[in-house]
Order: sequence, then C-alpha cells, then structure tokens
Amino acid sequence: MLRDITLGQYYQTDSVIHRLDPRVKLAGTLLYIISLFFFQNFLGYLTAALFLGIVIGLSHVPFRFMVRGMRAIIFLLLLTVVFNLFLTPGTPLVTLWKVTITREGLRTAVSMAIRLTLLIIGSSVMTLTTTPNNLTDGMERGMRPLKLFRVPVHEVAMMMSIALRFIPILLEETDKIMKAQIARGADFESGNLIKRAKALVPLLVPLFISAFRRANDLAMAMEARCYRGGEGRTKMKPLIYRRRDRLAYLCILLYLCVSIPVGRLSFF
Amino acid sequence: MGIIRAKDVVYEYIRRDEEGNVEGITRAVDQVSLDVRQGEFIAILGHNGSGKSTLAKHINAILNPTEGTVWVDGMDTRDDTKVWEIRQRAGMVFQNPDNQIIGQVVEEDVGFGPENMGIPTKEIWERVEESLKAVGMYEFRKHSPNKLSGGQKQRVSIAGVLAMHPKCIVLDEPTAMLDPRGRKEVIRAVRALNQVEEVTVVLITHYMEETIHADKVFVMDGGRIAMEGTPREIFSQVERLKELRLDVPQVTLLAYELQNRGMKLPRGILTVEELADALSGSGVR
Amino acid sequence: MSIIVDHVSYIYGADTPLAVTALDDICLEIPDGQFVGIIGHTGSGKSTLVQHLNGLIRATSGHIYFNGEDIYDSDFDRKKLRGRVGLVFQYPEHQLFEVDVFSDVCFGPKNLGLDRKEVELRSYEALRKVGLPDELFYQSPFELSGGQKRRAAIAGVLAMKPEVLILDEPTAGLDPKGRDEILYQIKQLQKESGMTILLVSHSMEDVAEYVDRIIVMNRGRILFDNVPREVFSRYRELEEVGLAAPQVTYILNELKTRGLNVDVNATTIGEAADTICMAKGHGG
Repeated sequence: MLRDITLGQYYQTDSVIHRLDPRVKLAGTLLYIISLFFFQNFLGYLTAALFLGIVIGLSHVPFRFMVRGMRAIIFLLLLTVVFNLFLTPGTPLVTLWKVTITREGLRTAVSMAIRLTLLIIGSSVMTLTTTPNNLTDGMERGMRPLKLFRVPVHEVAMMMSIALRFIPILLEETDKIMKAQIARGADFESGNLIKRAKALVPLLVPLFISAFRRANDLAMAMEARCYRGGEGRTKMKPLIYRRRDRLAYLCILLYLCVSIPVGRLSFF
Repeated sequence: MGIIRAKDVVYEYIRRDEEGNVEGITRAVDQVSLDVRQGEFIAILGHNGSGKSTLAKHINAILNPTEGTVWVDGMDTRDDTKVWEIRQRAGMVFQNPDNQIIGQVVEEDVGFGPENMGIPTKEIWERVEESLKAVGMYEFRKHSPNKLSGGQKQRVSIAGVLAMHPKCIVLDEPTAMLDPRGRKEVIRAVRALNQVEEVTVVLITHYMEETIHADKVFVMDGGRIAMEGTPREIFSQVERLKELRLDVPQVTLLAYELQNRGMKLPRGILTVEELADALSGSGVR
Repeated sequence: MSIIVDHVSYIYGADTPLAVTALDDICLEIPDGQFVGIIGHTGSGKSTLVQHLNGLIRATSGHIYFNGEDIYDSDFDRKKLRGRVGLVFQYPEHQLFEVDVFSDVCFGPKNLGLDRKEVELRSYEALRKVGLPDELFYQSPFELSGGQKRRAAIAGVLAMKPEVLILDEPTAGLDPKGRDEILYQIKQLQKESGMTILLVSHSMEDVAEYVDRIIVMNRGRILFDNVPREVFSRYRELEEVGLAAPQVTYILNELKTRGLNVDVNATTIGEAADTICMAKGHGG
C-alpha cells in the first residue's frame, strides 16, 4: 500500500535525457522552476509546457508515469486552486451563495495550477531519468565549493544515497510490521488522537530497532569493503561534460531567452 | 605459511546490565587455531551461538582477538596500518542480503569496493564486468538491487567482494535467509569462485549439505573447534554431530540407519549416487 | 467448521500498469484439526494466500468462508476473525516491542478486549505451551536468543486462542536443532489442542514428517494438493518448478531404477530403511 509513491523513482530506460550529466539536469530543473515564476501571461506557460513536452518526449518515459507522480499532490493542488479562486479580491465574476469568484481569482487559480503541475512534472523528469546515485554524485560535485567552508559534502551525499536506497526497504518493512500487529488485533485506524498515537508504539519500536540493526550491519559491510570516507576514493562513473551536455546547457539558455521575454509580454 | 592463520585466538566481550554495570564476561571464541592454505575451500559449521560468526569477523579485522593472533597473508590483524590491506585481501560477505548492498544499481554496488581502494575508473569497469560475469549476474548490471531475489542479491554481494581482487573470501552464513533455490545459486557461485578463480573460500554455515564439497570442515561448539577433518570424516560421526545440534543430510542419515541395522556400508556416505552404488553393488544377491 | 477458499484471485496493483497476479483462481477446503503444509518458493503466492485467510488482504475476486460464513459479508466481524485465525508472520521476533516478554504476549489478548485476569492467564498458558522457561517471562524480549525470541513471538499469537494457527516460515534463520524443536512443539500443540495448523514453508524435508497434507503453490496457482507421499512421487514435476522432494525419495527412485524392489513411497528415514532392508532380504 505504501509502495505506490512514484515521485522520485527512477524509471529505467535509455534516452538522451538519461545520459545527460546530472549537473546539467540539476541546473536545468532549477532554472526551469525559476522561470515558471517569472511568467505573467499564459504564453509563457505555453512555452514552458512545450519545452517540457519535448524533454518528456526525448526521455522515453511513458507519460502516465509522470502523471502518477501527480496523484500524491493532487490534494495540495486542489487546495491552492480553491483558496486562490475564492479568496482573491477583485472584479466579481460569479457569486455563489456567499462566496464570490473574481476575475483575478480565476486567473491566479488557473496560473497557480499550471505552475504547480509544470513544477512537479518538471522535477519528476529529473528524478525519473537520473539514478539517485547519479543525482547525489551531481550534488556532490555541484556543492564542491562548499568544502572550503568545511561542509562535509561527500558525507552528506553518501548519507543521501544510502537513505534513498533504504527508503523502499523500510517502507516494505513498515507494511509488514503493521500487518503483523493487525494480525495480533492492533487497531491503527480508530479512536481519538491520543489513542491513535499510542497505537503506533507497537509499530514504531520494532521499526526503529530494525533500522538500527540495518544501519549497524551496513556500517560493518561498508568498512569490510574498505570504505573510509571520501579521501582517496576514485569514481566508477566520474562526471565529465560531453558535447551533449554543452548542447543541453545551450538549449536551456535558449529556452530561458525565449520564454521569459515572451512570458512577460503585457498584452496577453 | 597459509593465507589465513589463527593461533590460540580468544575473543571475550563484557556483558553489561541496564545500568551499565559489568554482569560477566562471555568467551565467544576460545583457543582457536587454524591454518588455511591458498586456494582451499574451508567450511566452518556450527549452531547459532557457537562462535563461528565471531571467528569470521576476525579474518576481516572487524574484530580483534583478546588473546592470540590472526594473520592474513602474513599480516597481523591487530596492526592498524595494515587494516585496509587486510580487508582488501580477505573480503567478506554477510548474512542479510539487504543490509550489505550500498549501490542503487547492481554495477554501482560492485564498483563500491574498488572505488574505495582508489582504483582508476577504467579498471573499475573491467573489474565490475569480470566479477559480475563470474557470479552470473552480468545481465542484471543495470537493475535495482531491490528488484532481485535473495539469491541474486547475495551473488551481487559476492561480486562486490570479488571486484576488490581478494585472495580469500569469507562468507558468513550467506544462505541463512534464502530459499532452497537461492541457496543452490549462491553455493554454485561460491564453488565456481574457488575452482575457476582459485580464490580461497571460508564458508560459514549451519547447513551440512553445503559443506560436502569443502576440502576441510571445522565444526565449532561453545567457541571451540569441536571437530576437524574432511567432509567424509566429519559426516561419518552422526551421533557426535547430533550432539552438536547439527543436521546430517538424509542420505548420510539413511546410510547410518542401515548400518545400525547391520548392513555393511562404507562410512561417511555423502551423495545419493554413493549410497545407490553401495546398495546396488555387492549386497544385492 | 472449516475454511473454504472459493475461486479466490488476487492482483497486486490491480489498476496500475505494473499489475501482478499473485493468486489465480484458488479453491481449497481446510477441515478442522488438519495439519497442512503449504509449500512453494519465494514469490509463489503462499504468503499472500495465508494473509487472505484472516482477512489481512482482501481478494480481488472470489469468496472465503469461515465456518460457513462469508468473511466479506458486510456484517461479518473481521476484527474478531483475526483472533480466531492466528497468523504468525515470517521472522515474528521482529514485531516484539514491549518491555518484557510477558507484556508482549499480553498484547494480542488485550486487543481482544478480555479482562485482565483472562489476558494474563492466557499469556501464561501460551508461554508455557511454546516451552519458554519461566525465568525468561519478565526479561526484555531483546535479550533472548534467536530461538527464544521466535517462541515468545509465537506465544503472542497463541495467547489469542485461535482455532486456526497459520505459521509463515516459522523456522527461517534457525539452526537445525532450533528448527526441529519449533516444529516438534507445533506438532505437540496440534495433538493436544486439536487446532487446525497451516505451516508455510519452502522446504519439503522440513514438513514431510509432520503434516497430513501438502499444498504445493507455484505462480499463484495450486500445483498439487494431496498427502505427502503422493506429492513427493511427482518429484520430477516438483523439480521443474524449483522445488525438491526429500532426498529419501531420490534415493529410493534411484534404487528402483537400478532394479532393487523398494517401495518408492516411503517418506521418512525409518520407512526408507525398512523398505531397503526388505528388498535386500536383510534381517533388520
């Protein structure tokens, strides 16, 4: 039941997008998200959607996978839309009982919905086409200047990649322990807040114990394989910019140069 | 001198109660000496809590002996400057397949050891490829470890150790959490390693049938070595093995039962063929 | 009084592109007091099947009847069902959470809403039944040995006094002696209380001596459902699906092909020795 979360899960296939350097994808995603906040008209969003569409097409990831990621945040999306729709002051458009929908409200609601959707799909393109390891590698390299300020960049990246590897395992374990306690008559669903919090003890205690045991085992296994921090390590997959990466940067630049001016044109 | 040598090894740990007061001292390994030659296949048998896993962790310098000495390829495991070299020479595979795979993709996990050792990128790729091929997991190199079966995960772990080019691999109950199919896969991979790659193997297990191809079997009990010999020598002592809480393969057990009923059979029968040969041969008439 | 599984199918992620059929049209009946072994390798659907029997998983289609009542009926009390069909999961010691063994065993019966005296009585009885020594009752469950933890966890389910006890791989990770002790204890339980027991395992050899009936699962379907000797006689088909009959079966079949007149249906070492002695005209 907990395994349905697609957000951030790598989709295995081969495509140009998959092969891009993770630094390109990280920077690209970041710039793309920023660009979304610059737009003042729908032409901007249209450009952004078009650009995203091309990227998705190139990524060979079925579109339904992208959309499945949306399910998790559909509630958030609806909430934003409703709030903006009813609570923005301006020229009234329709009045239903006591609430009024304004022209401005409608506009913000729609643009918020589009913006959020593009944002989520845009960032899931990155996570769907980049292995988490690759992603943390990209972050490690990208954050390298921070080392000067004594930020343990390698350690942070290693921690993230281990966490990512163990999330599915721990989710499965949670599921299993939960079922086992339900089989012993535990009830996680009824009662007031305090009762429910109390009911979590039989789930959380075994889960923590198991997580500690795994951490201990893993530390031992890593040491046995000569892991001793980032010093003196080489990389199996070192990050090297290739022609396609430079080309990708160029495309992103081009997108920004086109979409932002277009998105800020005032007569739309 | 052998690749692994242990002399009078004792390992003790202190038990403490909830307040941290010393409750007592447990001797997990007690006066163990052994000598493993390069290229041998050694099995260490014992029930849970017999000290076999504790002993294994000494070979990889994860634990240091309280008394006595362990040498790996001539290096004393207590020598702090040699720790990493020892861990590279004597690789280790653990029991739980989920808790020892670090990479998110099979090939990246196999590359983890060589990366730590500072091997150049090009060579890492070569090592990863040959290691995965040696355990028959090459076609899964791009897969996520979470989607593999237990036996496949353990084979990836073995490849991860193999990529470090060790002289010796210690496997600490690698099959305890697997189903029969996974168990067979892993044992097959381990035997190939020993025979084809000529890696010294120390297999720790409580399944008797996994040890029949070993050159030498040690049986541990209460931290000591209780029996030592070839599989045939060990398996002929059915009563003693039962005392040590171990299982005897059904063939051996049946041969033993028939002997008890007065039938004349060779001692220490290990396989179905051996028993069938013995029974259908001489005594039929 | 029985469990009837009627055309049950279960599909994981039914509405997604990754849908997997875990159970495919399963029909079976388990009468009262039977000791059943459910065999299959990992992923054969055996664990999924038993989780249907106490209502933890709801079938995608089909019906399950417990003592004649459809457990999917809207007025059927599925919470109560969990007390009547006890399910011990794989590595059950991973669910222990209380400060001492005794309180942990009390968790199940307490959830049934029994009064304190009854809860403690049942817990005490259950701990006795699994053969855990008294001096361990008030120890932290995390200080016990592997085998003892497993027993404590099994007691936690037994204390609910189920009519049917299902154990999913109760011997996984134990050493041979520990495995034999647990299996023996389960057999004793069945003899003394007449409980229906379902033992899920991937090892034929482990269950051969204990069970009345073996159900072999493969790819979500029932491959064989019969008494052990009949199932083992199909050892070649078993091998095709990655399972194996006990070694004894192989020995006897090998001897038979070599012209020795043995009864290939013997399943235990004793029976095998008998038939070999007979065939060879040996006095034993």
